[in-house]
Amino acid sequence: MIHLIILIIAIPLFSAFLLPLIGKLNEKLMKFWVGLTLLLTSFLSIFLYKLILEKGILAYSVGAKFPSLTAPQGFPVRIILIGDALSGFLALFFLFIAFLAFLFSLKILGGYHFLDPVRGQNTLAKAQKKQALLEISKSLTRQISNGVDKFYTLYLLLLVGILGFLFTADLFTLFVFYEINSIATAGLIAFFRNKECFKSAFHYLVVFAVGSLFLLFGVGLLYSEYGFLNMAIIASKIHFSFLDKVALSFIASGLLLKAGIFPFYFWKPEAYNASPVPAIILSIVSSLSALYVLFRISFDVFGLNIVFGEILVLFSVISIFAGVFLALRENNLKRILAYLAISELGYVVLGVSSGFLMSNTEPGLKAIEGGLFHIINDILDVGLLFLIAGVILYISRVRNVFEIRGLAHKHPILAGFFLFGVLAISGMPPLNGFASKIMIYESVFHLSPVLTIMGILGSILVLAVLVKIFTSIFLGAPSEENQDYQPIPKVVIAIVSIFVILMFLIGLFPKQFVTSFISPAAKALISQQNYINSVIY
Amino acid sequence: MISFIFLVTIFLIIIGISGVMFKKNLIKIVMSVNIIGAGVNLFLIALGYRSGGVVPIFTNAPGLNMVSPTPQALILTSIVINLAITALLLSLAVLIYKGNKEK
Repeated sequence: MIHLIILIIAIPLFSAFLLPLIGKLNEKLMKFWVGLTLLLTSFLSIFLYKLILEKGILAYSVGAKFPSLTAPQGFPVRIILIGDALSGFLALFFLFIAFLAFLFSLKILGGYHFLDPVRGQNTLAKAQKKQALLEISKSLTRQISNGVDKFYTLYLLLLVGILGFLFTADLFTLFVFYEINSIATAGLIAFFRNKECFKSAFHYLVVFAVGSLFLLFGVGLLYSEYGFLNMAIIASKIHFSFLDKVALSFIASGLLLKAGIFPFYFWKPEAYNASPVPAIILSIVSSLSALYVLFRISFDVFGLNIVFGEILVLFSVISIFAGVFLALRENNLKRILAYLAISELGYVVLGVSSGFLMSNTEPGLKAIEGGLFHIINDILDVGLLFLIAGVILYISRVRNVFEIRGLAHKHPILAGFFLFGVLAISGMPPLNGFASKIMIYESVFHLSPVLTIMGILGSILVLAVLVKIFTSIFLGAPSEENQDYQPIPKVVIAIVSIFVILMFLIGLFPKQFVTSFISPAAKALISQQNYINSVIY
Repeated sequence: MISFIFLVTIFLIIIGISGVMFKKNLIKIVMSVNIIGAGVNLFLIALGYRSGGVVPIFTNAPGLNMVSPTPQALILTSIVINLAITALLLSLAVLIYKGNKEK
């Protein structure tokens, strides 16, 4: 039981490197292996969460438990992993989402890059065009099934990066997981082996290589001042010199880049546009875990810093609006959803950072709870929309979604699911988006009423963007090409409906959900002293 | 002496960042990323320096003034990671080059 935390990270890592070997033997066995790994890790995370709720914060040191065990005077430098109510719950939830995205990836990867050139040649006759499409889709399936073991290897590695973000209590380990995360995501972006994908993968990797070195530079600055790398020990000694502020800005810029909100959102649409849909879901999860680390470091390690909190609130409001306004002028479905994902992340940051600005008050706690609650709803809402975008691309093979008309005639269930997603993401009752956004609006009002107005305005604009898409894709008379569209696999409908059911349940019983899962997590985030005491004994 | 090393690291990092921002050649961009990495690694290794320190093998020199071993362990990891990133970047650059040649 004591090794649970390290096992949750180690099992997917080990299994990821075994995958290419198993993939050589048998493809079905390989997929079964991935599913087994994800299931096993999810069960372990359930046990871990139960253990955390019973015993409080768990600290696991890799190697000697006390520094004096290694040598008489001992070096106080060890790798420590910490699981508390927040990181345990997030790990549980993220693993569940990763499992669903894995099931989705068995049927649909959601790429269209091979098919696009044919689509553009309008001069071809219709029969010819159909034939060419068929041939290309065959070659696509062949090529993808050749590389699918690499896809799952990178998928599990990205998951390792995310879980490492959640459990690490060590600034240098944070850097290592950041790099694992970046390399795996770059590989997933380049997965379709198309010129456009290679370009966005190169762009992504250059940006994140520089970002990770910024993070390392900030870690080095902190090390130079305190001689420690452990977050809790630094937190107990911190005294806000000028050097600390420089270090905080370097570390925070690295993490904001990974999260992809306001000043550093430029990589997001390109990267999401190129990568397969299940990998996008994991990318959103990795953005959210980077936000978790940002909150941990800026509020637990550096204590309450008013100026930094205000900067975060400013960034969050700008990213809410920047995401929506940039989405308004796009015509590519994946890019639109990527911009909306930026604006949804803004709500998470708005809730938590304004909650810390009002710390030790009733609305402050509620704002933090709302922000953390919105992490869950963000991945459910944006994830659902991305899954449906993947299904639409799979059945229609059209890049520009505004070419599609009247899809609701052929696939009414898809239209219903999309409408659910639209209403949830724009915060309409009784769905889950409303439950968390109303908590954020109510509590942020005590900090400044302007923030509430901005938040509501952002939600309305999200609705405006998505209603436009909904009417143009699903409504209207069906175009004649609709007859060529493929049927939707049944497994995919089941997975998407799991998302919808979860959203509906959370929307109907938000209070129970918040008291049983979110409140312990929020208490774990604000109790800085408990976090420090868990390591120093 | 020590402050001179920090000036060099800052100089390397600025060269690298300006290279990433202003160069159009992919190979030069990869080189600039490497230069930033070298600058950060040099910074970390300079942090562990003690003047007159000995090699950090604890059992050999328990009472003596040692160079701090932690940054050395850190940059060992960091160099390996930089190598992996460079390899991936170069392979992507080759693939982009091939794609451009086809057209």
